[in-house]
Amino acid sequence: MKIQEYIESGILSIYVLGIASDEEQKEVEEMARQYPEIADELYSLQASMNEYASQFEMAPPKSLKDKIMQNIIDETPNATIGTSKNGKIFQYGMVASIALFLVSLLGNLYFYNQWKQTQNDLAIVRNQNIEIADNQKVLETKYRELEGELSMVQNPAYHITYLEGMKDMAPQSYAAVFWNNEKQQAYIFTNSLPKPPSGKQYQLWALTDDNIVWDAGVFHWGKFTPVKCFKKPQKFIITLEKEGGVPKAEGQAYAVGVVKI
Amino acid sequence: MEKEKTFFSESELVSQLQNKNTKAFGYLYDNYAPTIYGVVVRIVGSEEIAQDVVQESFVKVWNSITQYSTEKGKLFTWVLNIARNTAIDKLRSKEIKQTQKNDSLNLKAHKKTDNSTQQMSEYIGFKEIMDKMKDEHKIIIDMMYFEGYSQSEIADKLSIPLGTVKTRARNALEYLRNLLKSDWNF
Repeated sequence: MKIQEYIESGILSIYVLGIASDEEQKEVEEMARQYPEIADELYSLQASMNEYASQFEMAPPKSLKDKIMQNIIDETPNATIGTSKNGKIFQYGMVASIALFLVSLLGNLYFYNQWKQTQNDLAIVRNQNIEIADNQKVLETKYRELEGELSMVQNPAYHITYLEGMKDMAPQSYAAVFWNNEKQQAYIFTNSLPKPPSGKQYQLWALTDDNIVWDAGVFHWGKFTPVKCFKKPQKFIITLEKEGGVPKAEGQAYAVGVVKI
Repeated sequence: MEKEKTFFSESELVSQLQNKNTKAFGYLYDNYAPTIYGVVVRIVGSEEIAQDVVQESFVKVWNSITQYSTEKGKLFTWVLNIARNTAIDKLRSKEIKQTQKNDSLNLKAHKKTDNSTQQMSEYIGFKEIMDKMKDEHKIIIDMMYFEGYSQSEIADKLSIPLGTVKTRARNALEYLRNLLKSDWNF
């Protein structure tokens, strides 16, 4: 059967206008399935009828919708009201959501505790850092001092005299006296002589060529300490005295050095 | 949260109805009911009966939505056919008085205003299809679609050969289709 003939026979129109017999209906549906042109013609005619039908549009009473909605809800206990897709899926979704919420809540509590712990640790570290910074400042000061001291003694105007420790008191120990006769400045340093016990201090004495022993002053062990300056010292002597020193040497002599000019 | 949809595409609507989504069903009703109601009123001749038919039809749609497939044509066609068939059945079983039917067959002026007793839609600029339809076409469509007469009954009533009934049907729909096409210009 030719498609065009079939289309022009009017059987499709009978079908669309709703009075095709059962056999005719089955035939049309089968033909439409087989031939896209027939399907297209069918849909086209249906579209015309749909538009024609809309000419008779009439607003139904509002109560009718309510009745119908109630009907379908009664018929379908699992009907979803709203935009959710499916009743069961919605319920599962709710359960899942609540479960997820609880999980996230627990998670949040855990992380809060972790955060608090971290905050505490941070506070400790911050304090440590402050300490370190303070220490750093101290070290920097010390270093600057040392630099100053070293740069001082590279100057040849500072005459160096090495004092040797007394064999019985301080073997293998030394002290150095830096003497600038011009500027009348002198310094002493030792950290190899035994560290004096508390209450005691080393004192430096200078023996001049007129055989007089002069008090050069006490000094700090391990520190570059200024001492009194004398013209033309011949010998330096270190004794261990009480803290603060004595006008006349009393204590044990620990180191002696001859000034070599 | 998903933004509330106010518009459904046909495929979305079908799938949502299959999911028993009442919001989708409400949307379906809002969009289809006026035409369905109007057509059914024209078939059964009474608004009261028409409301029962429409109610029955929409519930049928809800319950049998899985039977719809796109090879059957548009969703609206399918819903309209359910309503029309229900209306025709009601017409036959109730044996509605002929006088009522005569009113609906008023071929003089099938304006929208004739049918509406309540709300009237304003169709400013909308050409009156009915006025432009030839009587012979209107009659065929009415007898077949709105009255549900069989081909042989129509052949009898119009005193035409049975074979001509199909031809007349085709002529009517072709004429209608052309008429509607020309209206698409505005």
